[in-house]
Amino acid sequence: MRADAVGAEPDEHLERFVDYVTEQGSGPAISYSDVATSTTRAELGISSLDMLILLAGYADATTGGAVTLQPEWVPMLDDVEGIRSVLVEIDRMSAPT
Amino acid sequence: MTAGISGGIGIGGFTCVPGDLTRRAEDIAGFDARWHALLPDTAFEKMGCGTFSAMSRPVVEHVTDCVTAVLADRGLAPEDVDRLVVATSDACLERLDADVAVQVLAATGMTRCVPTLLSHLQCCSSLEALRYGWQLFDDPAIEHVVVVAVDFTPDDLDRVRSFAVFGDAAAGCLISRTPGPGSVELLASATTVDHAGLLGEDSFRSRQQAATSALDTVFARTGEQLQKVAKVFGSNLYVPVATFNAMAAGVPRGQLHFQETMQRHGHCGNADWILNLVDHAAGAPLGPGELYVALSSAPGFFACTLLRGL
Repeated sequence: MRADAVGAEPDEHLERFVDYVTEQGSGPAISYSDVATSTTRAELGISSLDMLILLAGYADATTGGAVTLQPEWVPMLDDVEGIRSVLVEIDRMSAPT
Repeated sequence: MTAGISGGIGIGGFTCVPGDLTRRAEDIAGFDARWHALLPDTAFEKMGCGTFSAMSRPVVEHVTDCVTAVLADRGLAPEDVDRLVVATSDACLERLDADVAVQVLAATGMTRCVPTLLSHLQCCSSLEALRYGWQLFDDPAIEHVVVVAVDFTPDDLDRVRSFAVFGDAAAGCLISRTPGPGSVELLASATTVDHAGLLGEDSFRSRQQAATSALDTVFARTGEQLQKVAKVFGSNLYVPVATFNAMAAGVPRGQLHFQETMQRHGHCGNADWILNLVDHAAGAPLGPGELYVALSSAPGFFACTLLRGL
Protein backbone atom coordinates (compact mmCIF):
# COMPACT_ATOMS: atom_id res chain seq x y z
CA MET A 1 0.00 0.00 0.00
CA ARG A 2 1.20 3.47 -0.81
CA ALA A 3 1.34 5.97 2.02
CA ASP A 4 -0.22 9.35 1.33
CA ALA A 5 1.47 12.65 2.07
CA VAL A 6 0.20 12.77 5.65
CA GLY A 7 0.45 9.30 7.04
CA ALA A 8 0.54 5.64 6.26
CA GLU A 9 -3.05 5.15 5.15
CA PRO A 10 -3.36 2.82 2.17
CA ASP A 11 -4.34 4.28 -1.14
CA GLU A 12 -7.63 2.67 -2.13
CA HIS A 13 -7.05 3.06 -5.87
CA LEU A 14 -3.66 1.40 -5.88
CA GLU A 15 -4.93 -1.23 -3.47
CA ARG A 16 -7.77 -2.10 -5.82
CA PHE A 17 -5.38 -2.32 -8.76
CA VAL A 18 -2.97 -4.59 -6.87
CA ASP A 19 -5.93 -6.81 -5.98
CA TYR A 20 -6.95 -6.95 -9.64
CA VAL A 21 -3.42 -7.83 -10.77
CA THR A 22 -3.18 -10.54 -8.13
CA GLU A 23 -6.53 -12.01 -9.20
CA GLN A 24 -5.29 -12.33 -12.79
CA GLY A 25 -2.80 -14.95 -11.74
CA SER A 26 -0.69 -14.69 -14.88
CA GLY A 27 0.40 -11.08 -14.38
CA PRO A 28 3.42 -9.70 -12.53
CA ALA A 29 3.51 -10.46 -8.81
CA ILE A 30 3.22 -7.06 -7.17
CA SER A 31 2.31 -6.30 -3.57
CA TYR A 32 1.18 -3.23 -1.67
CA SER A 33 4.67 -2.84 -0.27
CA ASP A 34 6.14 -2.92 -3.80
CA VAL A 35 3.83 -0.09 -4.76
CA ALA A 36 4.68 1.86 -1.63
CA THR A 37 8.41 1.69 -2.22
CA SER A 38 8.47 2.23 -5.99
CA THR A 39 8.31 5.49 -7.88
CA THR A 40 8.51 4.22 -11.45
CA ARG A 41 6.76 1.46 -13.32
CA ALA A 42 10.14 -0.07 -14.10
CA GLU A 43 10.98 -0.25 -10.37
CA LEU A 44 7.65 -1.91 -9.82
CA GLY A 45 8.64 -4.59 -12.29
CA ILE A 46 5.75 -4.11 -14.70
CA SER A 47 6.76 -4.20 -18.35
CA SER A 48 5.15 -1.77 -20.74
CA LEU A 49 3.28 -4.65 -22.38
CA ASP A 50 1.97 -5.88 -19.03
CA MET A 51 1.03 -2.34 -18.08
CA LEU A 52 -1.16 -1.76 -21.08
CA ILE A 53 -2.77 -5.20 -20.84
CA LEU A 54 -3.46 -4.88 -17.13
CA LEU A 55 -4.77 -1.33 -17.35
CA ALA A 56 -7.09 -2.13 -20.24
CA GLY A 57 -8.34 -5.18 -18.34
CA TYR A 58 -8.78 -3.18 -15.14
CA ALA A 59 -10.76 -0.46 -16.93
CA ASP A 60 -12.93 -3.09 -18.58
CA ALA A 61 -13.54 -5.02 -15.37
CA THR A 62 -14.13 -1.93 -13.27
CA THR A 63 -16.46 -0.10 -15.59
CA GLY A 64 -18.04 -3.01 -17.40
CA GLY A 65 -16.51 -1.93 -20.68
CA ALA A 66 -17.84 1.61 -20.40
CA VAL A 67 -14.38 3.17 -20.35
CA THR A 68 -11.54 2.77 -22.83
CA LEU A 69 -8.01 4.03 -22.36
CA GLN A 70 -7.50 7.66 -23.24
CA PRO A 71 -4.52 9.19 -25.11
CA GLU A 72 -3.98 11.74 -22.34
CA TRP A 73 -3.38 8.91 -19.90
CA VAL A 74 -0.49 7.44 -21.88
CA PRO A 75 2.35 9.70 -20.66
CA MET A 76 1.24 9.06 -17.08
CA LEU A 77 1.94 5.34 -17.21
CA ASP A 78 5.68 5.51 -16.67
CA ASP A 79 5.56 6.31 -12.94
CA VAL A 80 3.51 5.15 -9.99
CA GLU A 81 1.96 8.53 -9.22
CA GLY A 82 0.82 8.83 -12.81
CA ILE A 83 -0.61 5.33 -12.78
CA ARG A 84 -2.46 6.22 -9.59
CA SER A 85 -3.95 9.29 -11.28
CA VAL A 86 -5.23 7.14 -14.12
CA LEU A 87 -6.70 4.64 -11.66
CA VAL A 88 -8.47 7.50 -9.86
CA GLU A 89 -10.01 8.51 -13.20
CA ILE A 90 -11.13 4.98 -14.00
CA ASP A 91 -12.53 4.43 -10.51
CA ARG A 92 -14.35 7.75 -10.67
CA MET A 93 -16.02 6.70 -13.91
CA SER A 94 -17.10 3.44 -12.36
CA ALA A 95 -18.56 5.02 -9.24
CA PRO A 96 -22.37 5.05 -9.06
CA THR A 97 -23.84 8.52 -9.51
CA MET B 1 8.26 16.59 -44.55
CA THR B 2 5.93 17.27 -47.39
CA ALA B 3 6.56 16.11 -50.89
CA GLY B 4 5.45 19.06 -53.00
CA ILE B 5 4.93 17.05 -56.14
CA SER B 6 1.72 16.63 -58.05
CA GLY B 7 0.67 16.51 -61.69
CA GLY B 8 -0.81 13.08 -62.13
CA ILE B 9 1.89 11.06 -60.43
CA GLY B 10 0.47 8.09 -58.63
CA ILE B 11 1.44 5.08 -56.55
CA GLY B 12 -0.06 1.75 -57.51
CA GLY B 13 0.71 -1.84 -58.29
CA PHE B 14 0.81 -2.63 -54.57
CA THR B 15 2.02 -6.20 -54.25
CA CYS B 16 3.15 -8.46 -51.43
CA VAL B 17 5.11 -11.68 -51.64
CA PRO B 18 5.07 -13.17 -48.16
CA GLY B 19 7.31 -16.06 -47.25
CA ASP B 20 6.06 -19.29 -48.81
CA LEU B 21 5.96 -21.30 -45.58
CA THR B 22 3.21 -20.89 -43.00
CA ARG B 23 4.24 -21.63 -39.44
CA ARG B 24 3.32 -21.01 -35.81
CA ALA B 25 5.50 -19.34 -33.21
CA GLU B 26 4.62 -21.98 -30.64
CA ASP B 27 6.20 -24.61 -32.92
CA ILE B 28 9.62 -22.93 -32.89
CA ALA B 29 12.15 -25.01 -30.95
CA GLY B 30 12.81 -23.30 -27.64
CA PHE B 31 9.76 -21.05 -27.90
CA ASP B 32 8.59 -21.49 -24.30
CA ALA B 33 11.96 -20.59 -22.81
CA ARG B 34 12.35 -17.66 -25.16
CA TRP B 35 8.93 -16.27 -24.32
CA HIS B 36 9.48 -16.76 -20.60
CA ALA B 37 12.80 -14.93 -20.81
CA LEU B 38 11.17 -12.02 -22.62
CA LEU B 39 7.89 -11.68 -20.76
CA PRO B 40 7.67 -14.08 -17.83
CA ASP B 41 4.42 -12.61 -16.55
CA THR B 42 2.49 -12.42 -19.80
CA ALA B 43 0.48 -15.16 -21.50
CA PHE B 44 1.42 -15.47 -25.19
CA GLU B 45 -2.18 -16.43 -25.94
CA LYS B 46 -3.23 -12.85 -25.16
CA MET B 47 -1.13 -11.49 -28.03
CA GLY B 48 -3.65 -12.49 -30.69
CA CYS B 49 -1.18 -14.27 -32.95
CA GLY B 50 -1.95 -16.96 -35.50
CA THR B 51 0.70 -17.99 -38.01
CA PHE B 52 3.70 -16.30 -39.58
CA SER B 53 5.18 -16.49 -43.06
CA ALA B 54 8.73 -17.73 -43.58
CA MET B 55 10.87 -17.70 -46.72
CA SER B 56 12.22 -21.06 -47.85
CA ARG B 57 14.03 -19.65 -50.90
CA PRO B 58 16.86 -17.10 -51.11
CA VAL B 59 15.52 -13.66 -50.25
CA VAL B 60 16.60 -12.19 -53.59
CA GLU B 61 14.16 -14.53 -55.33
CA HIS B 62 11.30 -13.15 -53.25
CA VAL B 63 12.35 -9.59 -54.03
CA THR B 64 12.59 -10.45 -57.73
CA ASP B 65 9.14 -12.05 -57.69
CA CYS B 66 7.77 -8.96 -56.01
CA VAL B 67 9.28 -6.56 -58.56
CA THR B 68 8.08 -8.75 -61.41
CA ALA B 69 4.55 -8.76 -59.98
CA VAL B 70 4.58 -4.97 -59.50
CA LEU B 71 5.53 -4.48 -63.16
CA ALA B 72 3.05 -7.09 -64.38
CA ASP B 73 0.24 -5.31 -62.58
CA ARG B 74 0.73 -2.34 -64.92
CA GLY B 75 2.04 -4.28 -67.91
CA LEU B 76 5.23 -2.27 -67.65
CA ALA B 77 8.37 -3.47 -69.42
CA PRO B 78 11.34 -3.85 -67.05
CA GLU B 79 13.56 -1.71 -69.24
CA ASP B 80 11.16 1.22 -68.69
CA VAL B 81 11.87 1.42 -64.96
CA ASP B 82 14.11 4.35 -64.08
CA ARG B 83 14.75 3.67 -60.43
CA LEU B 84 14.57 0.83 -57.92
CA VAL B 85 14.46 1.71 -54.22
CA VAL B 86 14.97 -1.25 -51.88
CA ALA B 87 14.13 -0.68 -48.21
CA THR B 88 15.02 -2.92 -45.32
CA SER B 89 15.27 -2.71 -41.57
CA ASP B 90 18.61 -2.36 -39.82
CA ALA B 91 19.00 -5.98 -38.81
CA CYS B 92 18.28 -7.21 -42.34
CA LEU B 93 20.82 -4.89 -43.87
CA GLU B 94 23.70 -7.20 -43.00
CA ARG B 95 21.73 -10.27 -44.09
CA LEU B 96 21.37 -9.06 -47.67
CA ASP B 97 24.06 -9.77 -50.21
CA ALA B 98 26.15 -6.70 -50.94
CA ASP B 99 25.05 -6.86 -54.56
CA VAL B 100 21.37 -7.60 -53.91
CA ALA B 101 20.24 -4.70 -56.08
CA VAL B 102 22.38 -5.86 -59.00
CA GLN B 103 20.96 -9.37 -58.62
CA VAL B 104 17.42 -8.03 -58.80
CA LEU B 105 18.19 -5.82 -61.80
CA ALA B 106 19.74 -8.76 -63.61
CA ALA B 107 16.94 -11.17 -62.75
CA THR B 108 14.15 -8.80 -63.76
CA GLY B 109 15.77 -7.28 -66.85
CA MET B 110 15.64 -3.69 -65.59
CA THR B 111 18.53 -2.65 -67.80
CA ARG B 112 18.19 1.15 -67.46
CA CYS B 113 17.37 1.20 -63.77
CA VAL B 114 19.43 3.01 -61.12
CA PRO B 115 19.21 1.20 -57.77
CA THR B 116 19.22 2.60 -54.25
CA LEU B 117 19.08 0.85 -50.89
CA LEU B 118 17.55 2.65 -47.93
CA SER B 119 17.77 1.55 -44.30
CA HIS B 120 18.67 2.63 -40.73
CA LEU B 121 15.10 3.57 -39.89
CA GLN B 122 14.13 0.11 -38.67
CA CYS B 123 10.56 -0.69 -39.73
CA CYS B 124 10.06 2.92 -40.87
CA SER B 125 12.57 2.46 -43.70
CA SER B 126 10.00 1.73 -46.43
CA LEU B 127 7.95 4.84 -45.70
CA GLU B 128 11.11 6.88 -46.03
CA ALA B 129 11.81 4.97 -49.27
CA LEU B 130 8.35 5.86 -50.55
CA ARG B 131 8.96 9.52 -49.77
CA TYR B 132 12.36 9.33 -51.49
CA GLY B 133 10.88 7.61 -54.52
CA TRP B 134 8.13 10.20 -54.75
CA GLN B 135 10.62 13.07 -54.61
CA LEU B 136 12.64 11.54 -57.43
CA PHE B 137 9.89 12.91 -59.68
CA ASP B 138 11.39 16.36 -59.19
CA ASP B 139 13.41 15.18 -62.18
CA PRO B 140 11.14 15.44 -65.24
CA ALA B 141 13.01 12.56 -66.87
CA ILE B 142 11.80 10.10 -64.25
CA GLU B 143 8.78 8.10 -65.38
CA HIS B 144 8.65 4.96 -63.24
CA VAL B 145 10.09 4.13 -59.81
CA VAL B 146 9.70 0.76 -58.07
CA VAL B 147 9.86 0.69 -54.28
CA VAL B 148 10.35 -2.65 -52.56
CA ALA B 149 10.36 -3.33 -48.83
CA VAL B 150 11.92 -6.57 -47.63
CA ASP B 151 12.45 -8.06 -44.21
CA PHE B 152 13.22 -11.59 -43.09
CA THR B 153 14.61 -13.37 -40.02
CA PRO B 154 16.80 -16.44 -40.56
CA ASP B 155 17.05 -17.42 -36.87
CA ASP B 156 13.67 -18.64 -35.69
CA LEU B 157 14.16 -17.70 -32.05
CA ASP B 158 14.94 -14.14 -33.15
CA ARG B 159 11.43 -13.96 -34.55
CA VAL B 160 9.91 -13.98 -31.08
CA ARG B 161 10.06 -10.52 -29.55
CA SER B 162 8.34 -8.64 -26.76
CA PHE B 163 6.21 -6.69 -29.23
CA ALA B 164 5.65 -9.04 -32.19
CA VAL B 165 6.48 -12.32 -33.91
CA PHE B 166 8.50 -11.60 -37.03
CA GLY B 167 7.52 -13.03 -40.39
CA ASP B 168 9.22 -12.74 -43.77
CA ALA B 169 7.97 -10.79 -46.77
CA ALA B 170 8.83 -8.61 -49.72
CA ALA B 171 6.25 -6.00 -50.70
CA GLY B 172 6.37 -3.27 -53.28
CA CYS B 173 4.65 -0.67 -55.41
CA LEU B 174 5.16 1.43 -58.51
CA ILE B 175 5.33 5.23 -58.54
CA SER B 176 4.52 6.40 -62.02
CA ARG B 177 3.64 9.43 -64.14
CA THR B 178 0.99 7.27 -65.76
CA PRO B 179 -0.68 5.61 -62.78
CA GLY B 180 -3.22 2.87 -63.22
CA PRO B 181 -6.58 2.36 -61.55
CA GLY B 182 -6.53 2.05 -57.78
CA SER B 183 -3.54 4.32 -57.42
CA VAL B 184 -2.97 6.92 -54.72
CA GLU B 185 -1.05 10.14 -54.50
CA LEU B 186 1.28 11.04 -51.66
CA LEU B 187 0.05 14.18 -49.92
CA ALA B 188 2.55 14.40 -47.09
CA SER B 189 5.05 12.32 -45.19
CA ALA B 190 6.78 12.73 -41.85
CA THR B 191 9.30 10.78 -39.82
CA THR B 192 10.17 11.62 -36.23
CA VAL B 193 12.91 10.40 -33.96
CA ASP B 194 12.40 9.27 -30.38
CA HIS B 195 15.94 9.77 -29.17
CA ALA B 196 15.32 7.94 -25.90
CA GLY B 197 14.08 5.03 -27.98
CA LEU B 198 17.28 4.97 -30.01
CA LEU B 199 19.14 4.50 -26.73
CA GLY B 200 16.77 1.81 -25.50
CA GLU B 201 15.34 4.20 -22.91
CA ASP B 202 11.99 4.95 -24.50
CA SER B 203 8.87 5.44 -22.47
CA PHE B 204 5.14 5.66 -23.04
CA ARG B 205 5.58 9.40 -23.14
CA SER B 206 8.46 9.50 -25.62
CA ARG B 207 6.79 7.04 -27.99
CA GLN B 208 3.54 8.95 -27.90
CA GLN B 209 5.31 12.23 -28.58
CA ALA B 210 7.06 10.78 -31.62
CA ALA B 211 3.76 9.47 -32.99
CA THR B 212 1.63 12.54 -32.42
CA SER B 213 4.33 14.86 -33.69
CA ALA B 214 4.56 13.02 -37.02
CA LEU B 215 0.79 12.77 -37.46
CA ASP B 216 0.28 16.42 -36.49
CA THR B 217 2.89 17.44 -39.07
CA VAL B 218 1.23 15.51 -41.87
CA PHE B 219 -2.25 16.84 -41.16
CA ALA B 220 -1.12 20.40 -40.51
CA ARG B 221 0.66 20.52 -43.85
CA THR B 222 -2.27 19.22 -45.83
CA GLY B 223 -5.16 20.78 -43.95
CA GLU B 224 -6.72 17.33 -43.70
CA GLN B 225 -8.02 15.62 -40.58
CA LEU B 226 -7.39 12.19 -39.12
CA GLN B 227 -11.14 11.77 -38.62
CA LYS B 228 -11.62 11.89 -42.41
CA VAL B 229 -9.18 9.05 -43.07
CA ALA B 230 -10.80 5.86 -44.36
CA LYS B 231 -8.13 3.41 -43.20
CA VAL B 232 -4.82 3.40 -41.38
CA PHE B 233 -2.30 0.75 -42.41
CA GLY B 234 -0.06 0.15 -39.42
CA SER B 235 2.52 -2.26 -38.07
CA ASN B 236 1.68 -5.90 -37.37
CA LEU B 237 2.47 -5.87 -33.68
CA TYR B 238 0.72 -7.94 -31.01
CA VAL B 239 -2.94 -6.93 -30.86
CA PRO B 240 -2.71 -5.28 -27.41
CA VAL B 241 0.40 -3.35 -28.48
CA ALA B 242 -0.93 -2.25 -31.86
CA THR B 243 -4.27 -1.13 -30.48
CA PHE B 244 -2.64 0.67 -27.55
CA ASN B 245 -0.21 2.45 -29.87
CA ALA B 246 -3.09 3.50 -32.10
CA MET B 247 -5.02 4.82 -29.13
CA ALA B 248 -1.95 6.69 -27.90
CA ALA B 249 -1.55 8.32 -31.31
CA GLY B 250 -5.22 9.25 -31.42
CA VAL B 251 -6.09 6.77 -34.18
CA PRO B 252 -9.60 5.31 -33.71
CA ARG B 253 -9.56 1.50 -33.51
CA GLY B 254 -12.03 1.22 -36.38
CA GLN B 255 -9.62 2.94 -38.76
CA LEU B 256 -6.76 0.58 -38.06
CA HIS B 257 -6.26 -2.31 -40.49
CA PHE B 258 -3.64 -4.82 -39.39
CA GLN B 259 -5.09 -7.69 -37.41
CA GLU B 260 -5.89 -10.12 -40.21
CA THR B 261 -2.47 -9.88 -41.83
CA MET B 262 -0.70 -9.97 -38.47
CA GLN B 263 -2.48 -13.20 -37.65
CA ARG B 264 -1.61 -14.66 -41.05
CA HIS B 265 1.91 -13.37 -41.78
CA GLY B 266 3.27 -11.98 -38.50
CA HIS B 267 5.22 -8.74 -38.31
CA CYS B 268 7.03 -8.45 -41.62
CA GLY B 269 9.10 -5.46 -40.57
CA ASN B 270 9.04 -2.50 -42.89
CA ALA B 271 6.77 -4.34 -45.35
CA ASP B 272 3.76 -4.34 -43.00
CA TRP B 273 1.94 -1.25 -44.22
CA ILE B 274 1.99 -2.55 -47.81
CA LEU B 275 0.72 -5.97 -46.72
CA ASN B 276 -2.12 -4.28 -44.88
CA LEU B 277 -2.94 -1.95 -47.77
CA VAL B 278 -3.04 -4.89 -50.20
CA ASP B 279 -5.20 -6.90 -47.82
CA HIS B 280 -7.65 -4.04 -47.39
CA ALA B 281 -7.76 -3.19 -51.09
CA ALA B 282 -8.59 -6.81 -51.94
CA GLY B 283 -11.93 -6.35 -50.21
CA ALA B 284 -12.47 -2.64 -50.73
CA PRO B 285 -10.57 -1.03 -53.62
CA LEU B 286 -8.86 2.24 -52.82
CA GLY B 287 -11.41 4.90 -53.71
CA PRO B 288 -10.87 8.19 -55.54
CA GLY B 289 -10.61 11.05 -53.08
CA GLU B 290 -10.44 8.72 -50.08
CA LEU B 291 -7.71 9.38 -47.55
CA TYR B 292 -5.43 6.67 -46.19
CA VAL B 293 -2.55 6.74 -43.72
CA ALA B 294 0.38 4.35 -43.83
CA LEU B 295 2.32 4.36 -40.61
CA SER B 296 5.07 2.50 -38.89
CA SER B 297 6.55 2.60 -35.43
CA ALA B 298 9.90 1.28 -34.31
CA PRO B 299 12.25 1.72 -31.39
CA GLY B 300 13.41 5.28 -31.93
CA PHE B 301 11.25 6.16 -34.93
CA PHE B 302 7.73 6.88 -36.06
CA ALA B 303 6.80 7.45 -39.70
CA CYS B 304 3.51 8.23 -41.35
CA THR B 305 2.37 9.08 -44.85
CA LEU B 306 -0.95 10.53 -45.94
CA LEU B 307 -2.23 9.09 -49.22
CA ARG B 308 -5.27 10.03 -51.31
CA GLY B 309 -6.99 7.83 -53.85
CA LEU B 310 -6.80 8.97 -57.48
